Amino acid sequence: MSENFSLPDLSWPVAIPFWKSCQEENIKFQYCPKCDAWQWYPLFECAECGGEFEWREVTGRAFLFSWTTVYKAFLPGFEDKIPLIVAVAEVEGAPGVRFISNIINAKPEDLKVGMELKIVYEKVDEEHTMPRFEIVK
Amino acid sequence: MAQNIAIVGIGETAYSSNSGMTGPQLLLQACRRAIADAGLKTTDIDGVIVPRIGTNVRPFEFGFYLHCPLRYVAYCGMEAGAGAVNSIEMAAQALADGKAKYVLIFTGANQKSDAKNSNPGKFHMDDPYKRNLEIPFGFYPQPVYFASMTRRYMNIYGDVTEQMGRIAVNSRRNACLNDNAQMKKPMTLEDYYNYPVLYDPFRIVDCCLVTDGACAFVVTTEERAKDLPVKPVMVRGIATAGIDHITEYFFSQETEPLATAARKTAPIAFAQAGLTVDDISIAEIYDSFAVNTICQLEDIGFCGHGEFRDFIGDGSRISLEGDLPLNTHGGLLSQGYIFGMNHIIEAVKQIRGTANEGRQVKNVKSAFVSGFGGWFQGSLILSL
Repeated sequence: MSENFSLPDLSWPVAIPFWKSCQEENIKFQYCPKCDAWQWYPLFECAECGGEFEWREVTGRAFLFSWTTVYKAFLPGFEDKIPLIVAVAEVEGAPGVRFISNIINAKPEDLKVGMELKIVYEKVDEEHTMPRFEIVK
Repeated sequence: MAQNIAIVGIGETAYSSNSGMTGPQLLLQACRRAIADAGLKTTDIDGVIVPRIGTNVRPFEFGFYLHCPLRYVAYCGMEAGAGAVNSIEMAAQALADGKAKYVLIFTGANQKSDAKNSNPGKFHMDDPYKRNLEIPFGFYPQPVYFASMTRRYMNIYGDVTEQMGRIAVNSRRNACLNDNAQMKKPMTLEDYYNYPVLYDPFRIVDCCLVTDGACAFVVTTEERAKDLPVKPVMVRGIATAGIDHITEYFFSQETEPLATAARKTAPIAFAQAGLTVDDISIAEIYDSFAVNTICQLEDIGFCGHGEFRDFIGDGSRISLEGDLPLNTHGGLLSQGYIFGMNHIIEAVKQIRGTANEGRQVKNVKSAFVSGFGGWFQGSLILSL
């Protein structure tokens, strides 16, 4: 069986707390209390002070930065997801955190830079809960 | 420093979907052609620089294959087109320091026929951040990264679908006039629109080719160049830089993905050369996707930010007969994807006046080459 690329490796050490927060439907990102700075993508220690991160919750809102609609799947695991809106959004209250996911229940022509999105959760299987975006009406 | 350096030899293989050679054979063919073009013997080459991305070889191997008495051996760490330009900067330093007399720079691979090991998406797939935080959401590979930037550009500055089409059509026309190009089927703007949108707003013809092929060139000092049988092409201006937030080395994390480091490098290169955009005869701009070409042209100053639509107009300005012929070889969109080194080779040919008939631009005085590589970019100005 070929690899399903639509699922992450939950055992990748640096992101374990992230995927756990998704499973709990309360998404969290790294924050360094000493530097008062958010970090994404996850690192093992703060890039600037070398200190330990906390995983902090956010409002669950985000603002659309860029996106594309994919009509032809590149990899196994996406065949049934086409067309797929792939978006980058800036997470509210967490400066510097740019989060990638898919906008669901939306039409590509309705999308605009800066529009408000909310993070929702899709339980794919027992282990994987994937965060997605929806447009805030 | 830049003023004392010349490109004295160029070499390239055929650009194809299946070279029928091994990766090292492909590179060797380009290297031998570049060395011969310079009127040198392989035993004259004492320096080798290889941009780290793209090739699966180590620079010193080529001392072994070519019997070069190497004294200077280096990888260039900047990526793709930026690496092609940065390699010349590194060579300039090595030549100035007396570490080498003739530096050979090359790149290439069987990206198409040996896709398993050499396809352009491979190093993205191998990155655990991308595999776990981008790929599960479908953010992979390059067409998706740059399509999303293009959507942002269009949302801010207005639709440029027609203008992307004109870039693709211009590249195809030039490739059809090029005796070494991968895509030779003529394409009109109407043909362009007939391709389906795959990664909105991209059609397949908006995307970089995947190519079997290699490029090489030889760099030396102006003084040594005088003793060689070829017309040396002088480096008049050269600069490379990264964007401000180089820590964001993922396309998804760039603070402003529409800003390239050409904003920093072009003014330096123009100042070194004592030229402005108005003095440039041809532009060979890294064109992996139209949005890269557009953002670099705007950042270099050929037009203002968001003004590309008016700049390109009906496309005549960027044609071989226009004010600023663009990617006269067909570029990465229609000639081949050799990491932008083919743009440098083309600029040298155009300045020497040796581009094949039908493609040679009249009276080329100065060429501007822009090499883009993700978070890095290089500006290079060449003339006789």
